[in-house]
Formats: sequence, C-alpha cells, structure tokens
Amino acid sequence: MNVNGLPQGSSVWGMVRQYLPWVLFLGFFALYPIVFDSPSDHTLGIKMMWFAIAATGWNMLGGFAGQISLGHATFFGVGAYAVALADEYEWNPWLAMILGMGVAAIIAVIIGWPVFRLKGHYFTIATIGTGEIAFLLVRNSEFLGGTEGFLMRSDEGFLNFYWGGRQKWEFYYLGFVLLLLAVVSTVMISKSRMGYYLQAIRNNQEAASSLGVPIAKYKQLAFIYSAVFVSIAGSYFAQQLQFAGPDEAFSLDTSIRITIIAVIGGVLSKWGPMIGAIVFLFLSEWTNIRFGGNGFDLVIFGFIVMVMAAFEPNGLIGLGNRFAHLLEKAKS
Amino acid sequence: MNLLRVEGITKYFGGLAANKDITFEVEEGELLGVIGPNGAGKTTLFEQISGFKKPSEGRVILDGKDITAQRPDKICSAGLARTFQIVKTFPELTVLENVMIGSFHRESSSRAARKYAGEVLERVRFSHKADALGKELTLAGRKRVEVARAVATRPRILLLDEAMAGLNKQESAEAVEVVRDLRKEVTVVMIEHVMEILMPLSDRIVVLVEGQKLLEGTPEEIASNPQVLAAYLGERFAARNK
Amino acid sequence: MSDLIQTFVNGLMLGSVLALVAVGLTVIYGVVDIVNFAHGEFVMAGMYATFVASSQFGFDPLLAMPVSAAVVGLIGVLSFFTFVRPAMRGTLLSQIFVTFGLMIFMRGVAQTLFGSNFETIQGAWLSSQRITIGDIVMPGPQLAAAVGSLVCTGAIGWFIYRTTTGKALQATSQDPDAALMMGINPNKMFGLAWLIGGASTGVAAALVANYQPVHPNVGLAFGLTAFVIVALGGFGSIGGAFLAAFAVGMLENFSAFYGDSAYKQVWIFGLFILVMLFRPQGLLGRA
Ligand SMILES: Nc1ncnc2c1ncn2[C@@H]1O[C@H](COP(=O)(O)OP(=O)(O)OP(=O)(O)O)[C@@H](O)[C@H]1O
Ligand SMILES: [Mg+2]
Repeated sequence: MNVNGLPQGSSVWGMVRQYLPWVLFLGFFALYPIVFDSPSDHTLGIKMMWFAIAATGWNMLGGFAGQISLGHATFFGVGAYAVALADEYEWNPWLAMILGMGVAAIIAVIIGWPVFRLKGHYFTIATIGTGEIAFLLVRNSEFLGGTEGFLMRSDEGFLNFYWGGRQKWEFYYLGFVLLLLAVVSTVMISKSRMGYYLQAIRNNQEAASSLGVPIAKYKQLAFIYSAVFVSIAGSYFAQQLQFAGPDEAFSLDTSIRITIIAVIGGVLSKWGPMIGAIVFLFLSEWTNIRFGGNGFDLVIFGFIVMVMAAFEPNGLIGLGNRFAHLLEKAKS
Repeated sequence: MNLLRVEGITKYFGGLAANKDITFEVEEGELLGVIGPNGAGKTTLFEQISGFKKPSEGRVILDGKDITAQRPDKICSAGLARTFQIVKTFPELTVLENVMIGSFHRESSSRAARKYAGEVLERVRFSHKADALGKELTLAGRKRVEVARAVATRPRILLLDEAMAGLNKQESAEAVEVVRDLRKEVTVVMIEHVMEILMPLSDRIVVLVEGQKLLEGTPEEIASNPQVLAAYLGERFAARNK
Repeated sequence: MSDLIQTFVNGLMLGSVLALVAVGLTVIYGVVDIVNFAHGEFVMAGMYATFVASSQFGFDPLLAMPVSAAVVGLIGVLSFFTFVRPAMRGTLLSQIFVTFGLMIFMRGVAQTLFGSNFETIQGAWLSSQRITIGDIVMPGPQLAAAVGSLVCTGAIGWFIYRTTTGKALQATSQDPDAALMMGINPNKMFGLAWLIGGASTGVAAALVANYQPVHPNVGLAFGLTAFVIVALGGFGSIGGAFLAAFAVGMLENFSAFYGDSAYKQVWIFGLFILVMLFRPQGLLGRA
C-alpha cells in the first residue's frame, strides 16, 4: 500500500476510493458529539481528539519517514506546560500554545542534531534517551512545578482556549478544528515533494540520497512538523484536564501511548492514526469497564501490536486493504 | 574540455588497496566502458565518484569543479547520477513513484514530477509497469527502475553499475537499446562484465585489474591487447578472437 | 576517602549486575539482529517469578534462581517463535514494533496479575548477611548479586567462545545464510539466543529481587540502562557490554555521590548521546 494513492482515473469506483475515507472520518468525528451526547461521552471524545492529533503528528516522522521515535512525550509536555505556565502567569493560552509550538520546533532541531546521526534501532533508543532526560529535568525543576506539575484554573470561553469548558461539545469541536488542521496539512505534505521524499527515506536512504534527496534536512523537517503537532495535542490535553504534570505529559508512557495509537491504526497511511485513536479509546474504555483499570488494556494493545508487527505491519488500515483486495479479486 | 576527471583516486580498506592511483577522463557525450574481473574495484570507484565513499587520496572533478567526497545529494545536484549494482529499489513505492523521487530533483511540483517520470518511463520502455510496486518487480525490472530513477534527475553524466547483469538474453538486448537511446542525450560511464554488450556500445574502455588501471583505449585496442586477454578475458575469449 | 572507596565498591557491584542484564540483551541482538525493547520487562518477569516462588512456595530467592531463569528463558523462546520470527521477514518497522509490543504486553500482564503495588521479598537468607572491611560495607544481597552475575556472565562468555554450539551461534550472528550452508539451522540458533538472553536475564532478576522491590514498571530503568550499556559497548559485543556496564555502574554511583541522585539517569543518557555522536559504533563495536 502506498501512502499517495494515485488518482484512480475517472471511474466512479476511483472517486469513491479517493473520497470515501474523507467522508467516513470527517463524518464520524463531526457527528460524534451529536450521536453520543452525554458529558462523559464528550470527555471521551475530547480524549480521542488529542490522541488523534498527537498520533497524526507523530506519524509524519514515524510512519512517513520511518523514524520510530519513543521520545515524543517531550513535545507533548512542552505543549501542556506552555498553557499551564500561561495559566500560572496569566498569559493568553492560545498565544502560549503557539509559543509552545515554536519551542517544540526549536527543541526538535536541538534533539535532531544528535539523534539523526543514528539509524534504525539506534535512533529509537536515542529518542528514549532524550525523552527520559527531558522528563527528569522537568521533574526536578522547581520553576516547572517539580513532581507536582501545575493545576490550572482557566476561565470559560473561546478566547481562553476553554470554550464550554471540559466535557462540553464546544471544547470537543475546538479539538476537531485542530485535528482538521493536522489532517489537512498532513494530506498536503503527503502529496507534495516532501511526502514522497520521506517515503523514499523510509524505504532506502542510500538510494534516496543518490537521487538528490538531502536526507538530514527532510528528516529534520518531518521531526519539526511532528513535534509541533504533538505539542498542540499537549496544549489541548492540558486545557481539558486543567492540569499538567511530568508523569502525565513527559513520561515514556506518554510516548508509548502515542506510538501504539499510530501503530494499531497503521503507520503507512495518513488515516491510520485516526483509526488508531478511535480503536485505542474504545478498547481502553471497554477494558476499563469490563476488567477495571488494572492493566488489561495493555495486554490487549501489546498483543495487537505484536500481531500487527508480525503479520500486518500497516495495522488496521493494512488489514482493511487486504480485505478490499480480496473483495476485488472475488468480484473479477 | 572533459566533463568528468578522476585524478589519482586511491582507496584503502584497512590494508587492502581497492583502488590504486586511478586517473581517467570522460568527454562530454561519450560512452566510457569500465571492465575488470570480480573484485577489481569498479564499484568502489563509482562509490567514490558519487560521494558514497571518501577517497583515501585523489580528486574527482566534474565540469571543472572539485566534487571530491561531497554528499551524494550534492553530487546529484551537480549533475552526476548513478545506479547501484545491488539494486536499491524503493519497495513500497510504485515504479512511477520510484522514478518521481528522481524527477523531483528538478521539479518541485508533484504534477510536473509525475509527468516527467512518465516520460522517462516511456524512454526506458517501462511504462507498462508504472503502477507495479517496487517489491513486485523481477531483477530485470528493478535494474530498469534504477536506470529510470537516475535518468529522471536529469544528469549530465550517468554512472551505470552492471545495469544488465543477471538479465536473460532478451532482457539485456532490450536494456542495450535503452542505453543506446539514453546516450544520445547524456554522457555515460558503464561497468559491465559481458564483453559482447560493452564492446559495441563503448567509445572507449578502461580496464581495471586489482585496483589499478591496466589500460585505456578503443574497444578494438582493448580486444586485441594480450595483457587484457590474459588478465581478464581468459583463454576462451582469447582463442575466439584469434 | 572511605566514602570514595565505598562508592567505588558500590559501582563495581552494580556494574556486574548490569553486565549480566546487558549481556542478555547483546546476545540476542548479536545473533538475531533484533533489539529487544522488552528486555527490561524480562527483568521484571524474573523478579516476579522469584517473588512468587518465595512468597507462595517458600523458596529462598537464591533457590528460586533456576525458576526465574527457566521462566524468562521460556518467555524469550516463546516470543521468538510466535511473533519475532515472522516479524524478522518484515521491514525495520516490524522489527522495532514487535518487541515494543512485547514490552507493553508484559507490563500489562504484570499489572493484571499482580496489581501496581511494590512487592518485597521477606526473609531472604542473604538479607541478614553482610561483609565489612574497615569502613567499607558490602551487604549480602548486593555482593551475592555481583558475584553471581560475574559467574554467570563468565559462563555465557565461555559457552559462546569455547563450545561448538557457541561457535555455531557466532557463525549465525556473522552470516545466517553462510551458517545454513554449513549445516547450522539458523532458526534453532536464533531460538537459542533468545533462550540464553532470557535465562541469563532471569538469573540477574532473581539476584536483584533479593534487595529491590518489584512492580510492573520496574523493568523500565533496567531496560533503559541495558540499552545504553549495549549501545555504548557496541551492539552485539559481549566484551564491550561488560566494560560499558562497569562504566555505567560507576557513573551512576559517583554522579549520585557528587550530585543529586535524581539526575543520575540524565548523566547516563547524556553519556550515551555523547558516545553515539562521536563513536556511534560503541566502545568495542566494529565500524
Ligand atoms: N566496504 C568494504 N570494506 C572492505 N573491503 C571492501 C569494501 N567494499 C569493497 N571491498 C573490497 O574491495 C575490493 C573491490 O571491490 P568492488 O566491489 O569495488 O569490486 P568490483 O570490481 O565492483 O567487483 P564485482 O565485479 O564483483 O562487482 C574487493 O576485494 C572487495 O572485497
Ligand atoms: Mg561491482
């Protein structure tokens, strides 16, 4: 499966294949709070939003460029702490979010310089390292709230990035707009030179560089992009919880969660992270209700990730594609 | 003036000298063949010219500019493209997309890159496979993609490393036609083992043996040189040319 | 002065335990060419095996060592034959994801079975022992762990470098296809590497369980440290891992002695990133 599905000619079937995902995804996310309209459903929906934004951001680097980072909690944390600090010092949280995006981009450049000298597994391990360093520095910094982090008290209102407050559909749609921003920009990149170059880098770095692809530059661009969107997810997350703490934002667990979401959905597709967010959310809620919050969700996710890695590395999207293929074969 | 000049290239791997003081020039528009027995250092030479390995000594000069040990993508921008003996097709991209990675080098919009990639596929007679995935191709197909991708970067000089090895008769006959077409527009340096293929294509031939340039000359000169016959072509070929 | 010596001795003791954990990881990487991201969880599993053997069946942790080795060795072999082997045919992404999934899975199983509490083994014989030389104190559990780890690491080294099977392992690690031509079954060797990697980690875990409480996330610190050690030593290099383990053991103890112990991991990762920058093949790794 290639990420940039070629235009499928002018056949109706081709049009359907091209636009169906848009209709399905946008339809689902747009209608969710209307169909599921209790406040607790809205809380879940809001969670789903930041899952999807973070995983979509992560996937530009992890999926498109094939550089598996287990250190993206750092950027999630930057986003969360940006708005938390804004709350503490009474700045505007929107401005803080934008500032956070900038800081995330700068940190990505700083981290990228050493880690992109490494390939494959080494890269992944190095990102665990940078993630843990950031985690420990934040946890031990008094200015950043130490182990406690920050409790926030945002005033309700759109301008305060707290439209309707938590558990309200307004706040959900705020996230929806941010997600749209992530998806549209991802789609645009995937269709541009950068999207193709990143896939070439994932497939074979030497071949890519022989064809004139400046590898380091494009990895760095993908890293910046992913850092920025993961930090947006972090800001949104902190606004909802009205809280930002090191264990919730900066820990390896956060990086792992973002990664699982993308992997389950399918990292080779721009839609994968969104499918992943939906499935991840419902599976974890279901296990929580069914088995209590005792880690059984991890058993399931771990198992799915192993099965996917062994048998269908492109996650649920990959499974779907196989199924569609079978159907087409059966038809002809 | 010559387009490419290789000057005293020497490459050590530990104690082993894979290339020893190799010097030659390539004129604009010509097709230079490179032959030599297995392990003679042909690929190593290409790796250094294209920036994948740093020469221990010596310089590479492209159109008057020193490009020694520059990054491969920089060298590509300077107008030199190469293929890999051990093919490096992008397995998850289609053939057309594989070629687009090359054409993006001179085209920034996807539309233009796709269009040009399509044209290149026409030229190398591979359009019928445009939608196949890289990983679905046979070796012959992969070698064709190697060439197409390199051509799509619009190089002034093209380095082909055994672009026809491992192909059957019909496949390599087709590949020869492709090279004949290409050389009308671009300077070519090609490594090839099969003499029957290389001789009629080349303007000049360089012979490498044990890391050193043994000889350089027209195909006729090479074919009649007793040293070459002994060192490289072996008894069989020598007998046939008597 | 005696503080310094004490710190040095602590570093040595920690280093030898870390060496055993890291050698398990590096054997798997060296032979199978897969980084086991679940390696820390292997330690965790061994500690729980020891804990269960001692709390449920009254084994002293020392006696539980074979149990822990068997359990973790089995986990290693099973994971290889179920998921890792098919993933090896896939792309680099599959190879990273498969043990990443295993890591999550094992954490989940531990949380589900044992909850998130810290569990401590009570009444271990070793915990009442200690050796004192002048001002230097070597608590029984730590000392035993150090000695046991050294012995076990030595045994692995002997097995790999001196026995026929070990040489077959080495041959597989250099070139599985060539090994196949020589009549070695690479899959068996891969499985064996996971067995050795798992079992040795199980031994380390049982020794550590004598003095450290176990909880589902206990593997994190071990796994991360083991990655750093293996990367520092050069992936797949046993000698390199051994040296690097002591370097890290020292760094951990001395950074805690001179500075804030909260930052000791920062130093370790900082060292790791520095080494990766200037010597990416590790201390003894081949370029
Ligand atoms: N990275 C390397 N490290 C050590 N030795 C190398 C390396 N690459 C090549 N060599 C050695 O350098 C010599 C030349 O190899 P090279 O691949 O350039 O030969 P070649 O002429 O292309 O051979 P073939 O016709 O088989 O492709 C060989 O002896 C080879 O073993
Ligand atoms: Mg060669």
